[in-house]
Amino acid sequence: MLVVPLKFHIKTYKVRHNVRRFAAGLLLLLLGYSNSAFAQQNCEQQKVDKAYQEILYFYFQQNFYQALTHIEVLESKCAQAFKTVTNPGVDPLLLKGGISLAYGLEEQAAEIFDNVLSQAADDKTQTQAWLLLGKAMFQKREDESAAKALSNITLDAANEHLDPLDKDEWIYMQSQLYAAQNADTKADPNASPNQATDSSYWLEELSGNSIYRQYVIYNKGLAQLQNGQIDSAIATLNTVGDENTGFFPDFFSGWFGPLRTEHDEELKALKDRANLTLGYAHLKNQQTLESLNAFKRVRLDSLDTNSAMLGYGWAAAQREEYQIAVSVWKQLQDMPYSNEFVMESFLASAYAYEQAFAPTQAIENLNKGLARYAREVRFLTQSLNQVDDNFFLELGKTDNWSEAIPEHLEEIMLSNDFRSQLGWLSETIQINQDFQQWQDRLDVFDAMLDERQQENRLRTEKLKNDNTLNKLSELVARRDRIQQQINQAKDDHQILASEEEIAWLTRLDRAVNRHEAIVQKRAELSQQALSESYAERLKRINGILIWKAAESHAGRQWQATKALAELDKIVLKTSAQQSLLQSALNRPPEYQEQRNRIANLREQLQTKVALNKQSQRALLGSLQSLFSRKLNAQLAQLQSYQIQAQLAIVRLNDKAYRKAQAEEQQGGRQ
Amino acid sequence: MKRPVLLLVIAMMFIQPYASAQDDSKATESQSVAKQIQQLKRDLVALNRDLFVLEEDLLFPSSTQVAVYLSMDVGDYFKLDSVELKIDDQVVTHYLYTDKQVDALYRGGTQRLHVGNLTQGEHQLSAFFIGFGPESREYKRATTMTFNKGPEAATLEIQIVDSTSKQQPEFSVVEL
Repeated sequence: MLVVPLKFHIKTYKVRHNVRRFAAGLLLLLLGYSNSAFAQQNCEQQKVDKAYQEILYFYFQQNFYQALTHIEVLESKCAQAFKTVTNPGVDPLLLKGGISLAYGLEEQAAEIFDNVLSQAADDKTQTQAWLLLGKAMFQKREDESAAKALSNITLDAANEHLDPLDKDEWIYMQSQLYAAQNADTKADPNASPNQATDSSYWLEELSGNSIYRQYVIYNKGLAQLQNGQIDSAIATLNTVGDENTGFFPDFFSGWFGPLRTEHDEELKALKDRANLTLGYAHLKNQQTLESLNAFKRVRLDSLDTNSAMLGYGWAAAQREEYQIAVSVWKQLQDMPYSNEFVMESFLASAYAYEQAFAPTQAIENLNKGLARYAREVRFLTQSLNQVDDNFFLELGKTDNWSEAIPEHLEEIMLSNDFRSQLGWLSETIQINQDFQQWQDRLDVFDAMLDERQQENRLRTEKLKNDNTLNKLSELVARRDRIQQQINQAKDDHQILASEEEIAWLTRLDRAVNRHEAIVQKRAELSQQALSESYAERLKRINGILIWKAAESHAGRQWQATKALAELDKIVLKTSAQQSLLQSALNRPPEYQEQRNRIANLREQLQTKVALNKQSQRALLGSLQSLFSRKLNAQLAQLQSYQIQAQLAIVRLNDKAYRKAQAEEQQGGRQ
Repeated sequence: MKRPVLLLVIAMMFIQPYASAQDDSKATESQSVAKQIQQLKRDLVALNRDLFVLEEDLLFPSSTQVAVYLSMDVGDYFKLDSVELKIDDQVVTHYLYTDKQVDALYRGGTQRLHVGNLTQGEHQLSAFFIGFGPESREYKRATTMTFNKGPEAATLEIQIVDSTSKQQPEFSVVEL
């Protein structure tokens, strides 16, 4: 018997091939489904640490806005994140407070430090929190609260828990606050003496090379001057003015490095200011040579240069060195500034010429002064009409706006109050730009959601149309058929035959068919029957093939079962993914939720934009009023100079006339 | 001629450092504007947070998100100048560093170098570094890693670490 029909042979050959194709199909389905899987937001330790380190990355670059934003993002994703950060260096809440302080959010900083202090924090954290809270109050000029906060730090705690730079800052603020307190209580003779009000106490505690040392000394000298202790003040200020300011410590090595603003230029400026004060103190004390030396130490490109030049001239004039005085003042007059020192130098020169018995030059100089005053008045009056909101807005958009203002307006616009208001205006402009950027991005998000929604709709339709979700069940049915075939192979080993064996079986099948056809034909033609040996040979070959299949059956059965088991695992996984996809498809689309978020943010943005515009308008009004006030004050000052110069000219002319008359009378008598 | 100017200037020099009570009403007005701006800045940060989270949710859903961080050791043996990052042979980031950024990395900051979307499955990340190595010699190195992107957000970290034993920098990528 030729046992195996051809069709069945080919079918069985495909069993293993089918397993492979089936697996590939499942994998494709698996990949397709997994794209739709929604992962849960988590707060894994490593991810929290990375997010915290990213905050530090912005913080160390002094990008406080980004640092704060990332802190807020981290806190919104993981409320407990700050409690779990590994090796944060400082208490993360303190860091947030410090960054808030540096970004100009003193109120938020103060709230955070209060919060830290209300918790059972360790001594180090408490000390740092008191320092930063005190600093926040100090910056807000809430002296009483600052003093109260800073007084919670004992000297021992400062030594133990603060790095030297922070400790110096603490001492500096304490000394300033005590000095202010001292000034307030000076009028009260019954006020209890406080050791801490004496600057020498603070100086002892400051580290040797601290920048704050110079400030404390300078303020001490200033206080002595105000108290009329001229000699002591001079001695004190000399220690700052003569100080070598070349040394500059590395301020950016500590944790709170970016919060510091000191730099080398600041020290030099302080030294200039000390020398200027010294110069005038010596001048008041009739120590003209010392005064000259002090003024000489002021740098030529300093903010105090003009004042020092005026003072230098006065010191020289006091020594009756009028040529030197006039020469310095002449240089001052040629400077392109419009400050009171330059303006006063015309009157001062006239004084020197008069003292040097040169009334003609004195009058000449006064006339030059009058011309200069008139020019300044003209410029200022023009500015009063020209400077408007747009001018301030353009100035606020310029990075180095102080370099962009006209020279004759420097005196007004470089004042502290003007600077701070223009700084705020710049901030409102920047805030407005940020809002505008976000509004544009929200538009993009809206468009993106439209596109996604459309794409998702098409994809869902395609899924339905090409019957993708039913493919798994078809594949499972095919898998079951394969299982059935493997089961049948227990009885018919040739079901698991190899490709070579199947080829042999096909050939055998063909040979059997031919043999049968020949036998039949010969019978029809009444020819002699074929020898039995042919049929026996075919039987023998069939027997060999059956024997071979039986011999390999155990191994093949094991391989097929193993492949099927692997297939089952993939089927299981794919089935899970399909359930996920199905539930995702059944879930109402999240686009609406996202659109709501966008709409909500857009609404918030609009409110904030309106608020910002309101603040900007208030600031512009305030700036305009400040500008007018200052400019009018300057105009009044110039008018006063004009009157002084005119009176001096009249007086000098009168003096010359009287002198000429006297000479004439004397000549008549002779 | 008298010397009124000198006296005026001397008087100016002795202005108290605490000049807060000069004009109370103006100061209060300024304080009020300053407070308003402070509140606005606070709102700006909160708003920026919400927008940032929304942007991330929309552009980089966690199922496809891949984020690559870069961290550095003290940098004794390597001063970073630039990094080029490739994922599956596609350049996704090329970054040039400023001194301030390098300093922030030295001091413990970590930069999120890249955030993007990837399908699930196997991907290859390659990073090419240019900078200055020991004795200020120009230094070019690369590191690569094959990773498997699963259904959740993938986070990788490129680490540049000083090897004191080899006196060389070492570059590696780890999956977090």
